[in-house]
Amino acid sequence: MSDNQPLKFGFADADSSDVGLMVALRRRRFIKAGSALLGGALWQAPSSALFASDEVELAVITHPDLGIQSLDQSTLAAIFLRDLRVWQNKVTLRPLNLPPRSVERVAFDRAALSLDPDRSAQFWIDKMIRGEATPPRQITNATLLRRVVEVVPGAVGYVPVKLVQPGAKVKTVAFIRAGKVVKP
Amino acid sequence: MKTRGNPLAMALASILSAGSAAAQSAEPSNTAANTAEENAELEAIVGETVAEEAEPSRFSVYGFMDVGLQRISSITPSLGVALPSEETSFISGNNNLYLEVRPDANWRGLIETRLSLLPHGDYKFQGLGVSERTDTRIIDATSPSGRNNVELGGIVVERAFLEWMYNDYLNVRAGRFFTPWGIWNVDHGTPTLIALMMPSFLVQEAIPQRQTGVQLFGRHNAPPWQLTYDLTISNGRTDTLFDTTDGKAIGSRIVLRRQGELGIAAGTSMYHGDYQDERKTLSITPNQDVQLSKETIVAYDESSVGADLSLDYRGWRLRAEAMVRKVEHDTGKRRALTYRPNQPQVPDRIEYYGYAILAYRFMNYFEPYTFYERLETNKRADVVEAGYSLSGGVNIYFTPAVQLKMQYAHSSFENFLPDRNTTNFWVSRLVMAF
Repeated sequence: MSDNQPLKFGFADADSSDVGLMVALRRRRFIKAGSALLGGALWQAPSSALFASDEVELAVITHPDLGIQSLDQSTLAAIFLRDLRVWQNKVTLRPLNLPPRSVERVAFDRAALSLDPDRSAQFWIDKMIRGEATPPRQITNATLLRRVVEVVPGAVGYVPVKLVQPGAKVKTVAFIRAGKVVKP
Repeated sequence: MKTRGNPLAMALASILSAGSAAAQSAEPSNTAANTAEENAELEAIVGETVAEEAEPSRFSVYGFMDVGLQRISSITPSLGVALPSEETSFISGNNNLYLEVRPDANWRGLIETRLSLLPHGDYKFQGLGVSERTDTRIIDATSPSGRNNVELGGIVVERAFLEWMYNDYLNVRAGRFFTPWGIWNVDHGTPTLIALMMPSFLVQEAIPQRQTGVQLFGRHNAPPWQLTYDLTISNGRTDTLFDTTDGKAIGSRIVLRRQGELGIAAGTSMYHGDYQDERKTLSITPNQDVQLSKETIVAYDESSVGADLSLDYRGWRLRAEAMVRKVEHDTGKRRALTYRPNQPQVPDRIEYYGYAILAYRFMNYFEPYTFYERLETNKRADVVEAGYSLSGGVNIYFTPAVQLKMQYAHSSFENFLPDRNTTNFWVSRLVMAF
C-alpha cells in the first residue's frame, strides 16, 4: 500500500473509541440519578472540563469560496450529518469535526445536532452499518482545523471564537453561544 | 513532498506560526527575506498536509460481530424436532466485515462480508423422508499432526457494490445491494436494529433481501425535512447468479424524514418482478444423439407494496412496517408440495405481513422494548403460514459500540403440520461494532 493510501480501521471517526468520555458522562448520569433518588444528597458537580461545553463560544467557519453568508441550525445539522453534501454553487461540502473528547465537539454536537456524545457515536455507527455514510473527517485540534478550512474548498468547521481574528482567511457563518446556533 | 499525520502537520503549523510572527515583527533584511522564502515553502507544505487531512481515508475496514446464548422450544413436539436445537446453546453469530474504498471523492466501493461457520450442521428435508445434515469437517492435511479435523466455514457476500456520487439528487450504485425496503432491511445489522428476531417478511423472503443490478438514489433537503428516493432495476429474485428471464425487476422507495428532537421517517416501498426456475436435462435421443433440454418448472410474477413509520422522541423509538405481496403463477408452472397431499401445488395468493416495535431508552444504558408481529401468507407451504408473535426484550448499552441484546418471543402460528403450533424463543447476543 502506497503512502497516500492510508488504511483506517474501525469507527475511529465514529467516536466509538472515546471510552473515557462515555465513562465520564455515564458516571455523571448515575450521580444525577442517585441525586434524584436521594434528594440531591449525593450530587457532585462534575469535575471534567467537558461539562463546561455550554459555556464555550464557537465560530462556525467555512472556506470563503463556498459563498455561504450564514447557516441556521437545521442546515448546519444537515451538513454535519452528511445529508447535505453539495452546496448551491455545486461545491462539495467537507464538514470537519474536532475530536469527541473536546469541549468544542461536545458543545457543537449538542447545539447543532441535538446529539449528546453517546448518541453522536451511536448515530455514526448506525450510518456505517447501514452502508450509508461515514462521519465527517476528524481534525486533531482547532488551530489545524482553521488552517484546513482556509485552504480546502468546501471545508466547514468550528473553532473557538478567539481563533478567528479579523482578516482571517475564513468566513464566519454562525456562532454557537449558550448552547444555541446563532447567525452572525 | 508527501507528508501525512497530525504530529507532523502540527509541528509544521507551529514552525510556520513562529516564523510568521518573526517576519511580521522584523524589519525587512536579507535574513528576513530568507525567512519569508522559508515560510512560503513551509506554507506550501502545510497547505498540502492540511489538504490531505481533509481527504477521506481511501481504504477503511470496519464491521460488527456478535455472540450469544439462546433456547428455542416448541410446545408442538413435531415442530420441536424440526428446530435446529431445542437445548440451551451458545452461538457464534455474525462476523461481518466491511471493506470500503474511496479512490476519489465521488466514487466509493463497499464490500460487506459475513464470515460464518455455516453451512456446517445444517439440516435439510428434501421432501418426505430422512433429513440430510451438512458436514463440512475435513482432515487438516496441512497440520503437523496430519489427522485432526477442521470445520470449513462460509463467506456470505452481504453486499458488494460500486457507487458514484454526482450530487445530492443523483447517486448511482451498481452491484449487489440490499433491497431498499422499509426499516429492517435497511438497518440490517445487529448493532443498529432494536430487536434480534428478524420479521417474517424477511425470513420468508416476501421481498428479496438483496438484488444484483443498479440502484439510483438521492435526496432533497429542506432542513429539518428531507425527502429521499431509491429506484432499482435488477435481476430480481433468482436461484442462480444470473437472471433466468429478460424481464427485470423494478423497485422504489420514497421516505419523508424529519431530523431533530422529534425524528420522523415515513416511507413507502414497491417491488415488481418475475421469477423462473429451470431444469436442464442431458439425455440420449432414440437416434443416439446427445441432447440438452431446458424446462421451466416454476414461473410467477410478484408485486409488493409496503409502508413504514419511524418515530423518535427523546428516549422513545417506534418502528412499524406493513406490506402486501401478490403472487400469480403462469399456467402449470407451480412448485409441488410433496407433504400436502390435499394441496399438491403452491397457490396464487396475497400475503400480508406487519410488525411494530416500541422501545424506550433510559439512563442511556437500558432500552426495554416490545415487539408484535402478525402475518397471513395464504400459501400453506412455509414453516410459518399465519399467526402472531409477541416479544419483550431489553438492550443494555455498555458503550455506543458494545451492547447486550435479549429477546423473549412467544409465537403462535399455523403451518403444514396439522395442529396450531406454539414456539417460545429466548435469544441473546453480545454485539460489538468495530
